[in-house]
Amino acid sequence: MENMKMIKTIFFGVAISSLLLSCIGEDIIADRMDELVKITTRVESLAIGTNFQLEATYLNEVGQVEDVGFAWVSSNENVISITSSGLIEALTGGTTVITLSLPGRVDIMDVMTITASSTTEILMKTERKGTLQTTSSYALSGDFTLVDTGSSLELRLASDFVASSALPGLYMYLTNNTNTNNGALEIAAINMFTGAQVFTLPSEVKIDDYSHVLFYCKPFSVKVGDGRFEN
Amino acid sequence: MAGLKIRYMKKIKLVIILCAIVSFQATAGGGWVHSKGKGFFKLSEWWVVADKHYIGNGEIDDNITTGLYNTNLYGEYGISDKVNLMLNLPIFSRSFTNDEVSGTTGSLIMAGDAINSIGDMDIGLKYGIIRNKPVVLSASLYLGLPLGKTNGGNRRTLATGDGEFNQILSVQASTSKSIGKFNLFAGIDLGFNNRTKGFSDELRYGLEIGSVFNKRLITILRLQRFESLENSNFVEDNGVSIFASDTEFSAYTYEVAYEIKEKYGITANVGGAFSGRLIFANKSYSIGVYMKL
Repeated sequence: MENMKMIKTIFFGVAISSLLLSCIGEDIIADRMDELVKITTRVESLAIGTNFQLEATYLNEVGQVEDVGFAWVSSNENVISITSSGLIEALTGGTTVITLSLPGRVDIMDVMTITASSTTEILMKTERKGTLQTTSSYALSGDFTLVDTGSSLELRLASDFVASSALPGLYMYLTNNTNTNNGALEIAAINMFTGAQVFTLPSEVKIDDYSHVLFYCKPFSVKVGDGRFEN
Repeated sequence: MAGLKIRYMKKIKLVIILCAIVSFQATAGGGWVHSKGKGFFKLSEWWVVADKHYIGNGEIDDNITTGLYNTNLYGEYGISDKVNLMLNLPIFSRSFTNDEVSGTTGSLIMAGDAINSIGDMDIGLKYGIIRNKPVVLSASLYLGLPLGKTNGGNRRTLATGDGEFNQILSVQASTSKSIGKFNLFAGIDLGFNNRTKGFSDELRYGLEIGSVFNKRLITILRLQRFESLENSNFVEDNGVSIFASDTEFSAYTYEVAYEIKEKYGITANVGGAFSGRLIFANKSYSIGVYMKL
């Protein structure tokens, strides 16, 4: 009787300890990125007597777009003036430097030099390139290109693309934070692990929205590798 | 002569218990068998938690922290003087992954996950081919019944079993020797695991050495090697697990046991891998209690 009581006590002790020991814990992800502001419309020159609305983006400390107020400054207001909302007007011939920052902060900014002249020239990217690198023990390599075809945006993996097929659920993303796939734009699951492939992106994506292509094993949150856009 | 025989039989009985203590799933060590009506039972908690895994080429890579906890019932019972019935059953098995939390904002990125179930059961027979000799030999046949879950949880990545019915045929040879207050023993085993559902078959072999001090304190070292025959009919894609096909490892287990009373004792062990493929990369632990018949 005493032995059975001891056995029951030990049995419940072991069962309860297993429940307590196996509680779900936390993995802390080191996902900090440098904050960033960028002028997303690049103007080379503005015709005198015309105006143009500049656009900007702020990326927060985890690389996600956040709505904030901006501070716009023109170094030569007599040549090109700018309003608090980023509307520029070319007044007379010359050159100015437009500075974008956050109100009250000087640690992060973006600058753009604009010439007031006889013509308006907007810089439009139609192509961005990069190269993939593995950041894990799994294979990942090859070149990629983001192409604006006029009717859509395409992410193209080159013929030298190679990825490990040993992972369940290898996914490709566009991101501004290479430390996590949280907040990244999921493009597609990878089903072909070698060779050229083309992926059409959603219509709301602009060519300059993201800084990196990212590969993750989605089910196990394992980062496989990434590639930075070089331009 | 009669006195010598009695001492010898007592030593054999002690060593049988010792080898059962180090039982790991279906690879119960030792060539000895229990006589009819005698047996050994152990209730233990075994666990492994890992944030790294061995990938297919043997290198180690990170993963979200994943764990497996088994409350295990192990038993050996002599249904005759030559044949033992063997059972290994995780009566409660829990597999989980951690929450992912942003180190910058503190917000939850991805919620963790867990599944609970009974685990895969191994049931089998052990036959004493050579008994009551300085070197003993036995053969075992285990049947692995897939009672656990596979592809569990919201991300379908958690498992408490491998989902396939397997059969393990093995032979074990052992010997022992007394030196003063120490009983020393050693054994080797060789086995073949026939797996179904397209999983690769396995070759398993091991070596164990141990000692008993003053009939109470037991220490054991076990070395094991599992080799895949790489004859699966699919590409294994799950290295964050212990249930994958094409799993390989070279592992060690250190165990300590203490006999509290004549029929009861406690055990603790830690095990790790020297190398591996497609398996967790971290130590496993176990604590338990045992009872002898």
